[in-house]
Amino acid sequence: MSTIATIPKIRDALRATFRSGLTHSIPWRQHQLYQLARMAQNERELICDALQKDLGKPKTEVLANELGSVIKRALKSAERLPEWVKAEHPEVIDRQKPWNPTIYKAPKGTVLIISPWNFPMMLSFQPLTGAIAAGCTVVLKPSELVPTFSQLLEEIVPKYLDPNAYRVVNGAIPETTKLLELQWDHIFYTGNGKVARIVASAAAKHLTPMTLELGGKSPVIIDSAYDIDLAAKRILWGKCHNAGQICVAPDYVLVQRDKQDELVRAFQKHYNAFFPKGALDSPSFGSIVSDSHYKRLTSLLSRTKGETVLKGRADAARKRLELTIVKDVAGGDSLLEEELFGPILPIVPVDSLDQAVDFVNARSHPLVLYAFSDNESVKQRLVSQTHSGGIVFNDTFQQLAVSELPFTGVGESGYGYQFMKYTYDTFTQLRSSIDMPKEAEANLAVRYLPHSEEAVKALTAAVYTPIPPSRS
Amino acid sequence: MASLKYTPKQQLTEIHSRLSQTFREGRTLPLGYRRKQLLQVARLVQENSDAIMASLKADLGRHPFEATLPELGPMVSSALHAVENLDKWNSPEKPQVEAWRSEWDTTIFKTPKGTVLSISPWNFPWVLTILPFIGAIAAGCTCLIKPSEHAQASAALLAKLIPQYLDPDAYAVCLGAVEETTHVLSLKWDHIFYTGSTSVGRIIAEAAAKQLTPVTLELGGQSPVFVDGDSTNIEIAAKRILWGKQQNAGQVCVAPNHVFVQEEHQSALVEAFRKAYDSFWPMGPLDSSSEMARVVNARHYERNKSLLSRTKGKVVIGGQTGQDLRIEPAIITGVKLDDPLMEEEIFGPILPIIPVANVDAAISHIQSGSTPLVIYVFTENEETKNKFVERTQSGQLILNETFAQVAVYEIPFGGQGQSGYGSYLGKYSFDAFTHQRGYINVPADARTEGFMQGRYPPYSAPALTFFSQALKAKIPDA
Repeated sequence: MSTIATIPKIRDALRATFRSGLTHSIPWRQHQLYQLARMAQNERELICDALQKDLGKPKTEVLANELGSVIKRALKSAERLPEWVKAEHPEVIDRQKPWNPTIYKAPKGTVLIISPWNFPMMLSFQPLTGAIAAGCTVVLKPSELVPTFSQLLEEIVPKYLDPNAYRVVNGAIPETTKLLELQWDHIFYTGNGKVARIVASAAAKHLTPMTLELGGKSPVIIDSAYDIDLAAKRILWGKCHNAGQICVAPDYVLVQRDKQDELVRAFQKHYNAFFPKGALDSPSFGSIVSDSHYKRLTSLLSRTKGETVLKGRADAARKRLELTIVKDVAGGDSLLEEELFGPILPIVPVDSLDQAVDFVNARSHPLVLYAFSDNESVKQRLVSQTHSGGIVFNDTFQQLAVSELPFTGVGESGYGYQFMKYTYDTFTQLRSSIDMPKEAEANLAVRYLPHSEEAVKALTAAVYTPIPPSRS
Repeated sequence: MASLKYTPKQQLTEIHSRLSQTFREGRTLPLGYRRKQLLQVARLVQENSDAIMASLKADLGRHPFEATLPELGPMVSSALHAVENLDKWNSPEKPQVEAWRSEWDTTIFKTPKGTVLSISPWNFPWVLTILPFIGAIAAGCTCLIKPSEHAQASAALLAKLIPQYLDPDAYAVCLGAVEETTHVLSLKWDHIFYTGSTSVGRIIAEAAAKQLTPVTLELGGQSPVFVDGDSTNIEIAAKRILWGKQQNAGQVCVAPNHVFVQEEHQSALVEAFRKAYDSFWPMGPLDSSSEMARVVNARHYERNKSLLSRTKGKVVIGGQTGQDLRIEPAIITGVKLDDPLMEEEIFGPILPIIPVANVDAAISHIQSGSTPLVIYVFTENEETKNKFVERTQSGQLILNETFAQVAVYEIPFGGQGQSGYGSYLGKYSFDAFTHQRGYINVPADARTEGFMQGRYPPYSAPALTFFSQALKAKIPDA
């Protein structure tokens, strides 16, 4: 654990490294990215064990979702890096071509990444990949709610990545507060809206730009005409991952009233297929991260006015909580108060698609809107009448696999983009440039004082460009 | 002149509700609607150019040339540029994806962020209001404009003309000072675009933090100039620098703030400035025939006067104060870094020259300050140029010129560090107010489902092996 006093020193050292130009070279950055991939490969057993200990995370989930994509994206970023760093020379009007307009890609500088407990590997190293690629130096502050994992990072990261440029700083509120008192060139925060406001407030004092990857209640709308059985399977799969503790977990489901029971039966069927002996002791189902989250979830369940159709067993000592499915949930219910972030699936019956859309629009913009429909006009309607970070049809969770899509929130679910080049761009300053030739002086002469009437006329011609008519 | 009538708080809240409601109804979504509003912006400027020029004369003593080149011209051309590119900017993107996902119809939709707020400053009150506004319209947002109360004639005219030309349910202008701005900042916006000072920038960012509102901050700072006496045409450099400096009496965010030059070239530079000075103002800047903007108000006038009296450098050209808040542009030599002139952004007609040993000393001084909006470098030497590219940071890096970069719509205009974040001009204005919404559509067919079977619990050993493949990827030896 870093003591508070060393935190400013760490930041200053990283700044000095940045200023020294160490991270400038592309081969150097590529090497760091390969080292990141090596670390994920070589240390995978330790990482899986740590996540099993902290979160009861099934090994398959770690390998498939966390390590696999970290390795792949680190390697792909290294491969694409030469293309990304190239200065742009945009196409401009003829008169400006001799000015050599250029957009340099410059690293922002020394940055802070704060990652959460739920997908700690991916949500630490995905932003870090972009920051390394961009040429920044970095402090990574993993979550204290996954202590085994965070401590492991403090040990293994310096073995693979250059500690002059990348440091892991552990701690809880006091250490995080200290970090936030300092100036950074970008802060990348993944977590919840309440803490995001604290981070944003601290950043405001230094005019630090930010990325906020938050959550919210990601709704699922089911079109009655869609294959309810398949929808149930795909929704359940998304919900059960990490015991529902994901920002993009399907939070609650909106379904036509007359299809509710069919949906419930489909959920029950697929649940039994996923967990023949139930989820409580299944190695394929994760644990709740902490006692306080466990209490939060059981308290929400105790207050619901909906009807429980699948009652999850609970084990407080081991922080295990099976999935509970509740139907006939109405607006105002405890299960609709806040992001569930846990193994609870409320079903809200509606009488029309209109009602479903209104329900969603009456609430904060979600990180993702899920919808199950094959109907083109339903899809178009949902695309144009709702707002969300992303919109996913006919599956859950899979959008995270698409590294060409910008992953982002909107409104309460945050702002700023990530994945692959989007992460690189997040940590990059677009530095515009022109280079005015001496020879241009002849053309520029008319701009200098004093201005003759002819000069004024010539230079103000732009004001009187003919305006196209408005079409009716 | 009659003072501005500020918008009452109750009305500000109502305006915000109305704009939010209009957005929710989807009125600003059709591209045809946005196109029409953008053409109306262009018409507003063309049809009222005389009145706009008069307002700039009243507020800032601007010569018609200095009203048209930097303000009226760009407003019309930006609006028309947006109209021309509206379809292109708004087209959904279909990125190329890996083969196994090729049937998911991966798309990035361009969607408006929603209801936005744009706060603009007094120094270029028209162009700095309208250019971000054009981005907001093109993006499909509804927008409240809050122009500066320090440029009263411009603000009043904006408030009068906007509702005449544009849809008042979607776009509004409010007037006010600190109290009204504070109230507006307490409301929920989907983006706040602020152009102004660093200190107020902090207040804006702080207010935005409470609602997790994304922000663009176009701030200022002390934009340095380096004149490489060893390798540049000093006469041309001096002329281009002075031209930039005297615009709006130095009251521009991108004004060259101070000049570094090698010690041995300081006199030659001063002579070159003198020559340019005399060519711009043969009768002196304060003469009634001369074109010279004035300082915006008494407070800033006194501030500039005080700087001139407190500097430990030598005023070698200009610096005389005149009536009507005018001050002759002043060139001051032998200025050191701890001089009163270097305490903060000058934002006035004073140009300090700081002699240095060499380019490395200049770069070291620049690195020790906060990140400027622009660094100007006058040099033909590639090595010197690369030093600035690699060892300095700034929003923009401009070689052998001042100002012309803002005419290039294809390069983003924005700061870094204390000079702000985010950018605009051209498509960048559109992007500032746009949310990129990712979309996939996963097929329901048996083939896709079969392919994905291994992902469902209970997790099996073969599934584990399958998903562990990436773990065995070959890492290059580098």
